[in-house]
Amino acid sequence: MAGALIAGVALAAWQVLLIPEPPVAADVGPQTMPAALVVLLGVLASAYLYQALTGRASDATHDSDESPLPGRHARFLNLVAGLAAMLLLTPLAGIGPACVAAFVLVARAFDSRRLLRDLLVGLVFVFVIWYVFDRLLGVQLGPFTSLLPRF
Amino acid sequence: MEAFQALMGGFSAALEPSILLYGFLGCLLGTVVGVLPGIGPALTIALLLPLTYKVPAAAMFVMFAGVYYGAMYGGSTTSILINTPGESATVVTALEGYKMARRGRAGAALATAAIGSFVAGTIATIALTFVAPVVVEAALKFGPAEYFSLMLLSLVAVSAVLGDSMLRGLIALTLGLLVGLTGIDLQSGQPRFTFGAAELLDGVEFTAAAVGLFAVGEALFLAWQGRAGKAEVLKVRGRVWLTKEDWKRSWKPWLRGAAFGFPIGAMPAGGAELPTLLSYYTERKLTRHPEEFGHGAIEGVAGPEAANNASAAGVLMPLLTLGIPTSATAAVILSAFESYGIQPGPMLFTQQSGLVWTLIASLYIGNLILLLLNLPLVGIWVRLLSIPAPLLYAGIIVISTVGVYGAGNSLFDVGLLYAFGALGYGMRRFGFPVAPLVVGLILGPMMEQSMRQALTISQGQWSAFITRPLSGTLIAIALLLLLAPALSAWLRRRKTGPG
Repeated sequence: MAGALIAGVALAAWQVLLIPEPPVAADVGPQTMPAALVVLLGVLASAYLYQALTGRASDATHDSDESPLPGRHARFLNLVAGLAAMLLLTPLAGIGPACVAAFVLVARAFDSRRLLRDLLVGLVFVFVIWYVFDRLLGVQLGPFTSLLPRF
Repeated sequence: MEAFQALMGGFSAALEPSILLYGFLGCLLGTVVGVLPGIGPALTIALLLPLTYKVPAAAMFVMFAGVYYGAMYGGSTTSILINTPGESATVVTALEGYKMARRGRAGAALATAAIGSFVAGTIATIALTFVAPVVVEAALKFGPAEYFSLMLLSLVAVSAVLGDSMLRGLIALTLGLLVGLTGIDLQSGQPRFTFGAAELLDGVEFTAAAVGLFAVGEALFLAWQGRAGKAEVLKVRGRVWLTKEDWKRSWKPWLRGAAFGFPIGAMPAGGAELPTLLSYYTERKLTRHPEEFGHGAIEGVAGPEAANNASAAGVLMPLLTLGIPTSATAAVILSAFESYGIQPGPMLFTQQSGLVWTLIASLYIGNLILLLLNLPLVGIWVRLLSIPAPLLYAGIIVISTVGVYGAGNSLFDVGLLYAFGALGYGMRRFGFPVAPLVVGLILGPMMEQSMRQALTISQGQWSAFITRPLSGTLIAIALLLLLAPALSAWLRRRKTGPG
């Protein structure tokens, strides 16, 4: 986390340098507050890095009540695969199939091994959600699937 | 008297069938999300934000208030019956409530929680009704410098006082403020932190950020952890009601809980953790049955539950009167105000007085609806706890994604949702609080604007923030909050001496 924070600070600092000069001079230009915040975050992240290096940063991995049960990588990857399926399948097959695939994979990430049940529940659930959002509330989600012309 | 008349006007609007229906829906939804672990009011309201384009403002805010209050009622059911509090505010309830349920007294625990919530919620709403106009009077005299200092104070309080590490709280806050500045700077027209993406010129989509942090982040963490859905749900035996002895032991804790909850909830630091804890320790000290504490004492449920609900009304006070959110849910409600083009703050009471008083009146009605929903129907809510965890979290991810995708019809926003989910996972795993980030995200641009206005008025003199008496006092308090822990540690070290 400390490493990610430091990388974030570097990225933010680079973006602050890219903020163009405004055409009209002002007491507080567009860079002032971002620059001040990046400096502050840099200081705080360094303090956190120091804590982490000296072993004083908390991590749920080492907490007796919060630590993960065996199989954490497989569960985590299943969930990430579910999110990826959503991003990849929506443009290819429409929101419906993407959501059903994500539903099944996320259920798997929570230790479900009942594929058929998850598939059926997912299909009905996603269709109801799509119908309520798209047809009843008018939130535009596009067709349920682009694979079948009637939906 | 003026407040009373305005409130009566609010009641007549809130009792209109269409508004009442939205209020009822909000209470129902709030209770459901309160009961279900993994979903809270902030996430639910964030997901409802896309509907703000379709529903009139008054109806929508009445619904949000229902969700907010409902989640407080529903949350206690979960902490009493499965000992996994959905929200930090109900952690204390679980201490005694779960023990009561284990001893077969779940009915009494649920009843004292619901009735206590009603009593304290109503008292706090009465306090809100009559104190808010006074705060508005004072706030109207604030200039931009005072506003900037007030925001600074509440941000410091939210990040440094709450939570267990000031450093992690401040990091979360600074991240939130930075993310909040993304997009075109409204004063100079220059793009900031956009990484060349046109989608970010309008800033980070708030719904994507909030839902990502709360829903996707939590799901990633719980999947990683692998413990979700493995807790035992205790049965509710007998009637959900109180015996004569229970009433006698509950009513004083309810009143004391309300007295803790409202004022502390209304302070800049806000939150429900502090008042619930204070109420718990007070009841433990005052009880005539100290031997029962730790084994299921009814006072330990009655007091904290009352404090919890009273603080919910308290949090609405700085939000409605000053436009300052002091909790994640309040930050989401503030963003809803913005999407309607309404600026919360002292002017809200004059410019949108109809809306404000309808909202306040709906809080009274909502409390009554929730009491009726929670006492006789608790059996239905308990059944929600038997939804298998895999289906529950799969459903949460699908609804979150569909909600964010539907808001802007953009896969970019869905990507952003998942990126914030990854951040939320990291924060949850490494003990960073999420509330300061969300509050910072929404207050960042407002703070910058106040700072610029104040500097324009003072002709570029930064000292104006300190030399103006009220602004200077607020900054001094903020500094004190930041330095107090280090100072007290230093004093303790000096007292114990080198030997």
